[in-house]
Amino acid sequence: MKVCITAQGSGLDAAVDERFGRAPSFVLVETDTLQAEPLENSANQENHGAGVAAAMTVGRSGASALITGHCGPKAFEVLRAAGVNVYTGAFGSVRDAVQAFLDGKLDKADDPDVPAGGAR
Amino acid sequence: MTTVVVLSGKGGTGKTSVTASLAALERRAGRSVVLADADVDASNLPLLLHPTGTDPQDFVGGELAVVDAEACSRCGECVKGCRFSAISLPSPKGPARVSPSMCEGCAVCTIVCPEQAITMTAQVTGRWSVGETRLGPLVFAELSAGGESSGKLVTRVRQAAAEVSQRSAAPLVLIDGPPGIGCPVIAALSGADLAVMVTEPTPSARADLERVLAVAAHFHVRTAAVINKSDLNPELARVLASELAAKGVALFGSLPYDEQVSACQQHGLCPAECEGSVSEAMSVVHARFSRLLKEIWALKPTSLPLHVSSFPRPDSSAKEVGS
Amino acid sequence: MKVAVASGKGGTGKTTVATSLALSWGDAALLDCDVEGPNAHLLLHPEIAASYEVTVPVPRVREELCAHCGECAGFCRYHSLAVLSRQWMVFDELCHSCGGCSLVCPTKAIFEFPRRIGRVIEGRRAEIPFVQGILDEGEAQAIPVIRAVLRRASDDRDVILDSPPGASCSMLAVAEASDVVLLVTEPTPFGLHDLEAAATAVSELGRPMAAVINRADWGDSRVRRFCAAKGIPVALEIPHLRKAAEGYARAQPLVESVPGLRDDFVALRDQLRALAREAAA
Repeated sequence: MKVCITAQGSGLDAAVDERFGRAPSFVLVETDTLQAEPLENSANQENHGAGVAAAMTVGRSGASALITGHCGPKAFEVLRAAGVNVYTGAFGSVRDAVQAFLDGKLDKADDPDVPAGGAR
Repeated sequence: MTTVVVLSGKGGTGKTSVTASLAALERRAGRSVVLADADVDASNLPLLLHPTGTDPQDFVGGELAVVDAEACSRCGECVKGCRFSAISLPSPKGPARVSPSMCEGCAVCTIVCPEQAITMTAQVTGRWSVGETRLGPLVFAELSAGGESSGKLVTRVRQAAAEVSQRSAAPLVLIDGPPGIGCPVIAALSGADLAVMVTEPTPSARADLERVLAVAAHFHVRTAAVINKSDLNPELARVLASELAAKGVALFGSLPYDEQVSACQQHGLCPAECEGSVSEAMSVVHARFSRLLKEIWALKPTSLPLHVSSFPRPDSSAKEVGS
Repeated sequence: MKVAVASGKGGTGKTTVATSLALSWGDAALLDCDVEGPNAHLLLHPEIAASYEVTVPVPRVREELCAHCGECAGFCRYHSLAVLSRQWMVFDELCHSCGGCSLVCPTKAIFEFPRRIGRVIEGRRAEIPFVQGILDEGEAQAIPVIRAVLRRASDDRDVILDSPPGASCSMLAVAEASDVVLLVTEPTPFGLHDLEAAATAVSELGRPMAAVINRADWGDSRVRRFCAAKGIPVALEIPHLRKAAEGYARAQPLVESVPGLRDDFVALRDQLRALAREAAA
């Protein structure tokens, strides 16, 4: 399956970025092969609605899961509607995050975990 | 990183003076602070702190409709379509004209125009900078005259302040907030750890305080308060104090009404940097502020700044963070 | 004549001056456009007669007509729409009510729904008609409520518009509806800086200005010199008076705590009329 991780760079060794809407970039990883490709987060420069725009990008990418640190309410709604499960609490490198996901160590979000308007 | 925003609802209650004073007292206690002026419409912290080494960056706040004068047929469809009264036909033979201060960048005019004479262009609506001051780094911005007073530039200031906080390992970001309760306040407030409301014992300030407290509650931000100019109406000050207590708002203290504050400002200083009754009262306020900050810090899930991996990298020289 | 009472800096005395003008003139209307924190009623003490909801149109979709093509979301500049293969979503708080989405929808599936964002209150005190706009807490956009107040400015009498503080679009929406702008300031560094911003914005709008310097003896001469340099007449200087501050803290209007000022506010009327007339010519 394809998962999407919010990151500060473009490969498996890039550091996880804990934010979703304003994450510098995304990395798409095929969990069977650990093949990684970067995905641009054009929403991170947006003033309003960064979360919504980012969620649409992920929704169209074919990923079935989003792995991140925190996710706000609007983004969460869009991702849920797009059938993308949200996993929060990721940290370390993209590789670490994918491993934690595969080991079942991440929290599957039922609710957004930060209030509207951005991370703490 | 702990983010504290100073708000009031009503303008002129003393937000800037209190913000600068808290920063001055934090520094006196040996702790570093990153200051941010989120009142981008009337940015006053730079007037007290004279930031140096600034490199103003343009901020593109949105887009503006631009009419190609030659293609315009004066049909008036754009005037009819614009819901913000931002476009008009001001002269008998001239093309349609966009008012930059009224245009909200929605682009409806571009689709109703039969000649396709209108395009959208990026609009620089302000500039933001990071500077060094005697109290530490200051992030501030100025909205261009007539700019849309949305939270966009406020958000940019906050992002920059968070970045400076991580780079400099200063764990406290102290934000001088805007008046009101609208978009700029929401942008300043959301996700903050604490909102300190500076109020005064007047009916206007009390009414506006209630509204801004409701907004803070809506965004789940913890609140505290300072009653400024408290001796202007001591009975109302007492009523305010008990209303605040009933709402669970921590009261940091009261400051007296004193010409000293104005004189102090004339000399480019904040009350904590001058002597007198306001300064003394400010120290009491600061002591309570520090205690609450420690509580908040202790409750945070991680005491590392954002974006630093919880796994120490083998070659990193771990910096001591947190107070 | 419509007079906007504005200031760059908050807390300089806009509402104090606006209500003083209204009470001294006696027959003008007072419109409180500071919709994020309207306070004029606390000094004017009007009797309230009616209250109206202010709504803005937000999009809703008729699901049976929606092709989920995403044209609406693609057009929206504010990311307030998200369209997925079987779902259409709108985030009302991001919507600017421009109407674009319903225009671009190829199947005409989008209609507009009025969403409440605030209220307008109408009343009077003696011969002074009073209107107040108030933005609901948690709402981001003040301008639609300001416009709802401005629509109630009649042409058959002088109108005093108590403006929001600042130099940005909220204040300008009110200044734009006026014939002359009265800028209330104080002679402090903050007051001067914010006056400069407000005066620049208002002059770009092309409205004539005059200034009132409040707490005129608590500060220096830089504000006076700025006004002289820009050709902004200083219509009135009010000294700091503790009894005025204490009166304000007890909801007492300035012309009651300092009755001697009443004549000064009356004299302002002709000065403002002359400025408005000159500019219109």
